[in-house]
Amino acid sequence: MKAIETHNLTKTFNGVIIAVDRVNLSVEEGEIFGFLGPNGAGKTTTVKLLTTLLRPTSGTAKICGYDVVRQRSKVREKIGVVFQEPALDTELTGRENLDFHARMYGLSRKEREERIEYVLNLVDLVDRADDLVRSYSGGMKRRLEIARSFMHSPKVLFLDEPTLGLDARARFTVWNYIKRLNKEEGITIFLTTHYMEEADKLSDRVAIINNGKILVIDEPEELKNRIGKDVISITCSHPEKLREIVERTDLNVVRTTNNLLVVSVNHGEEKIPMIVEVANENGIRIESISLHKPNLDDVFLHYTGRKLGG
Amino acid sequence: MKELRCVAKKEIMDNIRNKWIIFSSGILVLLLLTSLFLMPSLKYCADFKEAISQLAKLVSPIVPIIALILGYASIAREIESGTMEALVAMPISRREIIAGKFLGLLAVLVISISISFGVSAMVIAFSRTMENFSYFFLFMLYTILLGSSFLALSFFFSSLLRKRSSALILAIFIWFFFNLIMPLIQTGLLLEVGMKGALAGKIPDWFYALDFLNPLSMYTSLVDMLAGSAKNLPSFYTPYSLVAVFLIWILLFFLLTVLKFERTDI
Repeated sequence: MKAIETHNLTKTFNGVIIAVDRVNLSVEEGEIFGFLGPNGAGKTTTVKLLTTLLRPTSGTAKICGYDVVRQRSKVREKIGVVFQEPALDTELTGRENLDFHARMYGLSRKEREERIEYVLNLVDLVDRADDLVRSYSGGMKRRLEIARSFMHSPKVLFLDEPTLGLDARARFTVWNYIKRLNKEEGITIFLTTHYMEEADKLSDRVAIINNGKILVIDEPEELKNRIGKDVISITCSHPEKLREIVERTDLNVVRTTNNLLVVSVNHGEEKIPMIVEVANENGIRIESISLHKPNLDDVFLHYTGRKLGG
Repeated sequence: MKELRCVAKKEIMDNIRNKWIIFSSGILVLLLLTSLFLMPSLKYCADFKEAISQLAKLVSPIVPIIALILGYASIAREIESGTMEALVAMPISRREIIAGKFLGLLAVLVISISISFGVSAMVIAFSRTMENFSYFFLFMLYTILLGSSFLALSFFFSSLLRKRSSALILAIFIWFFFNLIMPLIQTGLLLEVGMKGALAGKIPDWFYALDFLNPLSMYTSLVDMLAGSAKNLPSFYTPYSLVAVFLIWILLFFLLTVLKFERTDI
């Protein structure tokens, strides 16, 4: 059985705004599935549809075989969710937040006590468990939310931008917890993010979404290989003119945006002198040139014509 | 049902620590005690029946404030802070969430009023002899009804809003409306339409019927009836009808909140 399966899942608001447009997904059990896209791409709306918070306009979605519209309660029993915005009761202690969550899922007193200790240990919050959540740092709140989301041992965990607003260190810590959860508890994780590095590091497969539509789904390495071995980014005075020139060679143009030309090549370091030479011959002034291994940002640029960061 | 109890319990835990609830409940105790011991009209009063009309004047502005503090942001705050999103993603229906929250708030209100009245009753019982103690108990029940109606009202308005600040402004307006604006409208209408009858000593029946739209007027009337100071009332205007209308108020706004919340995108 698939952990998540959608067929032409669509959500429109006021009949005009298409937030999610005929999305087809199939996520295997135990997989970490990255959902990568810029702000406003439809990631959160998709999560809300899959977690039964919104009803689809058309199409279907199933979680562990249960329909998100007709079997909402069953779906909710199977899932855990960490929302983009913090959703903890700051007037309660960390332990009380976890206890409330466990009670809502019908865990017995013994189960609750054991499970609370286990999840607090897993996210290193045992020492602060009895403090009011309002005294927690952003990273601690996020860790508590993650701990809370798997209190009831869900089959599928939805993490909507779990590291948004965290500093690099806290982000790295959260990544470790996500990996550990997936490995130790075998939970399927559906992770939305607009951080390409996050999707790259954590995901078994990545779907790139833009304007509500899924553009491509594959393993991160496969996606990057589609671009080429190396990526050369050239900032110059006439990118379109340079594009026409390099297209006549064996270089593969990824995109041109504003004054940037991105090309993918094999053995990029050998191609740079040739690019500089043809640019000079044609009166094109090169402002900067860089060579790097392809990342998901380049993949995003390749499919959408714009960079993920904006 | 188990989940409903959980939501109610959490609501109680959330609000029992609310410093404004503690503060306003303290004010209520203080008012009841100081008035019973310092106000000349109450100091030498040997009968609760005589005392409650005057006590009601002190209680009636405070209890709606406690109820409004409890209810005004109960839903809006959770939507604003994001905790409602987490709650509706749990295996519990929206109807149960609203019922649990309302019952939790109601419990805090009842506890607050009961403690305030209970402390006053104990102090009185130990310090002086008063007859008709049962009237004091009825007076407390009517006060709980008053508070509950304001709680239901503010709970409903909280479901219409997504921000705590807007909910606060609306709560302040509700208090002013029922304490000042509505009595003014009622009196204005009486002067304009029913002046002739009023001068002849007969208040028209519709004037009493208008009381059903204001929990504060209903409360004052109930207390006056309890104290025996209400006279020449129309046949439909009895303690039973007033209590029934109170219950309708509470149920109506509770159901409206359920309907609204079930249609809200969180």
